[in-house]
Amino acid sequence: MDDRLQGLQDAELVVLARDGHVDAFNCLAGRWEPSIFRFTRRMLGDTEDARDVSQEALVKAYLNLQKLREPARFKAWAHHIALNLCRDRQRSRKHRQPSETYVEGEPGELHVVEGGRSFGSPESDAHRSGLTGLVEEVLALLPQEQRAAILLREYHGFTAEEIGAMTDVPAATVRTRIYYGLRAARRQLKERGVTEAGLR
Amino acid sequence: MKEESLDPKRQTLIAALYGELDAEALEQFQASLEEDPLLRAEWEELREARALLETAALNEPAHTPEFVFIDRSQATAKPKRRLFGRPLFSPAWGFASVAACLAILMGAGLRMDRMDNSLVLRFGPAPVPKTVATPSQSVTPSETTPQFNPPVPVGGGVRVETTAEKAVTRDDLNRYSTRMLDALTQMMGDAQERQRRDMSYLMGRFYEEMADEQDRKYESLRQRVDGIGLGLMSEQTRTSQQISRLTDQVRGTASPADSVATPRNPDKDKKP
Repeated sequence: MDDRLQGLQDAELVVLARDGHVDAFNCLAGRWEPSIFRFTRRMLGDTEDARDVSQEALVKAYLNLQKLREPARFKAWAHHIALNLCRDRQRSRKHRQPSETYVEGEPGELHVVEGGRSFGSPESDAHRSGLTGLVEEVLALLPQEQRAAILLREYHGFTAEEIGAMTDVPAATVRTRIYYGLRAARRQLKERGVTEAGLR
Repeated sequence: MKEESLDPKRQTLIAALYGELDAEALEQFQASLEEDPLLRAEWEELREARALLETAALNEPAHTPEFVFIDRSQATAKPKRRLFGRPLFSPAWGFASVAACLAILMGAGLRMDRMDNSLVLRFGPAPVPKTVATPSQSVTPSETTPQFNPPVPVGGGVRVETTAEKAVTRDDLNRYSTRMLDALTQMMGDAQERQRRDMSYLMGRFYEEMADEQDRKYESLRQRVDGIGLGLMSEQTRTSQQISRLTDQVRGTASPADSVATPRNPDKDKKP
């Protein structure tokens, strides 16, 4: 790949890619694929699924590049595509395994085990030991929208306004989701004996 | 799930947690934190949750980008017939062909002469007018005639000699047609050869990509099978540990507190 491409901004690479410069798109993909992959893995809890979904998101981004109105927002747009694909994937899991566990409760409590695939099962990756595994396990238990909001804000640097634009809700709703999600995650971690003081 | 929308204080709390407040708003928020112990407790709780999430991300395995987009629409599209980097049947190529044919014909001696206000194609060397003037006679301007239509010299005055000129015969045409045909055949042969080379290159690429794809799929399948195997092993270990604990409990060798595995999520069973 042309090294000069690496120095270009996303918007410039998008313009080049729209003109059929495949390497420009490869550069964009290389720049954002790790972030998209991490996001999809945390959303789905499965490395193979995440790999499939992140690649599908990038292919979809390439095919729909002409529809991107603001080239500078490529990162947010690509993550938005990935988020939609994760939702589709989780929906199809639910169809395959209808015996899903719903637990009703107060806002911020844990409600659903997504798609009948619980974290910690052999087919998921959450049996990884240590804090990373525990945190992933806890995040996976959050409702999908709370989890997406926390992941995008915490790990991918999107603002509440950007997340709102991605998920078609006001920024205030995003903050609400983050608030309840973080509180629930912290409570769950505490129940598993994980506290900030314990890490020191 | 229904989420209660947050009051403005907590909206500000989340904004402050992620550093979205300007200096003035932050100052106000800090003041409200000091006044409101409940808000302060929530702030601590959320800050701790963030710290734990951050720490967890530090230990996450790195991911190497592996996405390389190959534009298959271009790779598999039938390549345009091209010669020397230009399309085979472009206007430029047409002009070049005509020019080449003319060059061949002129090299073989074709001339274009003007005669009686018309153009005549002839073969052979160009006629060189050779004027021999005798001292007794001079050439008057009125007697100067076009080069290729000389007047008949009268009385040894002006004598113009021309080379033997002959018209194009059928044999000539056949000969040059044959040469043209040979040249075109040669050109077609070259183009076909190039096409064959292009095709074999594309087929080679295709097989290479197929092989790579196969390798990738195989590797991914192998990793998945390994993962499932590891998961099964860990599940087996966990189950055998549970069995041994239960056995111990039944035999009365262990206290009931450590024998029964705690449920993973006690809240789940809580009735609303």
